Amino acid sequence: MTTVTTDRAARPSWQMLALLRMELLALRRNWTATALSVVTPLLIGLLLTSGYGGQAVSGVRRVVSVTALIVVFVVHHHLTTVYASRRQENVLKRMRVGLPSDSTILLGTASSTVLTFLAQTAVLVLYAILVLDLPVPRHPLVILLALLLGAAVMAAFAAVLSAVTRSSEAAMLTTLPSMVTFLAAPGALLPLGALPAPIERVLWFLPTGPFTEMLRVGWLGQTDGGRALGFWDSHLIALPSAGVLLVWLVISAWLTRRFFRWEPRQV
Amino acid sequence: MKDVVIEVNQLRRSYGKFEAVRGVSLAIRRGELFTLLGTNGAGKTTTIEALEGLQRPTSGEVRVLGLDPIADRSAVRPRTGVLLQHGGFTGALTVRETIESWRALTVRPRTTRDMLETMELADRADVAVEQLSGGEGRRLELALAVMGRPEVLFLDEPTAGMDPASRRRTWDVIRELQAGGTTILLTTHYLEEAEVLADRVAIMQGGHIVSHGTPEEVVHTLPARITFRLPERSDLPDLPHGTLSVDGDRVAYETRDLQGDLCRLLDWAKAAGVRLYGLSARPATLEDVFLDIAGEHAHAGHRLEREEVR
Repeated sequence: MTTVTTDRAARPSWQMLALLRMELLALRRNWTATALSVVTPLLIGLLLTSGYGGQAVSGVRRVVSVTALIVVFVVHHHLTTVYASRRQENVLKRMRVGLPSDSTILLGTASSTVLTFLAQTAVLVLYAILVLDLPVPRHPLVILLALLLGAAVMAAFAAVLSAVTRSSEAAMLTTLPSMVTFLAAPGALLPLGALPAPIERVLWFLPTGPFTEMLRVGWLGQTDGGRALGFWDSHLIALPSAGVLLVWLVISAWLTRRFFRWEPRQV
Repeated sequence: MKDVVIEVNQLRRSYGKFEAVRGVSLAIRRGELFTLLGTNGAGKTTTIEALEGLQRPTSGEVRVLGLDPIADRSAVRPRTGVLLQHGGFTGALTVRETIESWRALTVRPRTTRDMLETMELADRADVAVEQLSGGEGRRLELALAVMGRPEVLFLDEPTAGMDPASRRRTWDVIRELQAGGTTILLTTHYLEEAEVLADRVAIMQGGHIVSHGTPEEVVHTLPARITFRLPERSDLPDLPHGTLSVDGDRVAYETRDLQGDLCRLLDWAKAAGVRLYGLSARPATLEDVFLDIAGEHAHAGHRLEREEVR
């Protein structure tokens, strides 16, 4: 009777793959969504970085800032609309009467968007190295950790905000405050040093603050002040940032648990 | 009672101030097809969703296969199939892609071809689900619900919005599953559906079960009717078990002993040489019971359940 658990359909990793495949199929069919979430952010990102050829530090800072822009727009804003529309279509509710657990459904639904973001970042990094002649990232592990943690926090906040979002159109409004907030961190939308130092110190604690700092340190192998860091120092100095992101992840996951809605909002 | 697979004990469920289900108890045995009948807002969907593990009871208890559908979710899910009242598809996927996606999420699933043929969707396999008719969409939903050969099947208004041909097809599928030993809980507001399919029915009204039993038992709570057109002679006989009412030129007896009273009426007509035009004699139907209950509870009719609000 309990032998069913050995079936692959009962394994969360397999379920996640199935959900990812479903989302990718939907993306392939829906060109508007594809253009909006995949092509546009990438094009804008390429345009915004193109003037920084050969300028190692300011160029990398610019690319990192654009990465923050993309993570906020794609993994936060766009994913909010994905959650909201899957809920309004009753797809989430139907998933819930099947085998996957709640968290598998949430992660599976986010997976294609997160993969999109990672692919966009990869293209952007390649463009920076090959076309803009920026240095090769020093510590890929720090970068990868930043990308995953940052995407996880943005995705969890997308799940939270989808609870008050009725449609893609409404998402423009519901995610506006959070998008602005996330982009206000130093090094995200504004260049480092654009705001008075005490304000920057406080705003650094927004998720995109440690996120962008980890990316800069991981890429350049030096502090924002310009002090060169060895291999271990680069990883050590990223720890507080990773810690802050983890705290954000716990908070946003708790909020998701508390507020996420599985059933359509009545109009 | 041995082998009860669906059990509901004093279930109550409120949404804010509104109490949708107010103390419902049920026990459904293995292999039984049980129908919950009721109008919109009667509490059917809330009851079935509590059993599906989608609604947490405010108080009371539900058990499916002896397990709690919320706490024991991962143990219950592989053994149940669910057809939601408003199921969801990702509209851009085709019928085949939808079936295949769901197969990946089902333990020991039936084949795609089997599902397409059983539900008569083979010629629609490559159509996007958003282009399906209401009935076709419902049949696709049913395909997903039965794909894992569930022991227990929950069907929330499976034939709502279907044309007669789709409805027959769906009934056939449900009967096959029933013959295969599946325990089925079905909600409907089509009385015919309950009469055709159900082993037992319960009629819900305002969050309560107001009547339950086999369709025959439920029907027996109401008298049978003999009707005919008012004859020239109007000294109609008194029937020992019947009550007479005349409405315009229509005569009606409500009787507890259809055969006995009908015999007496016909004897009287023969003796008096009266011809009874438009004579009909029939037991009460589920519809009569339903209308009778709906009439009694008419004051409760304005209450809303979520299914009405959508």
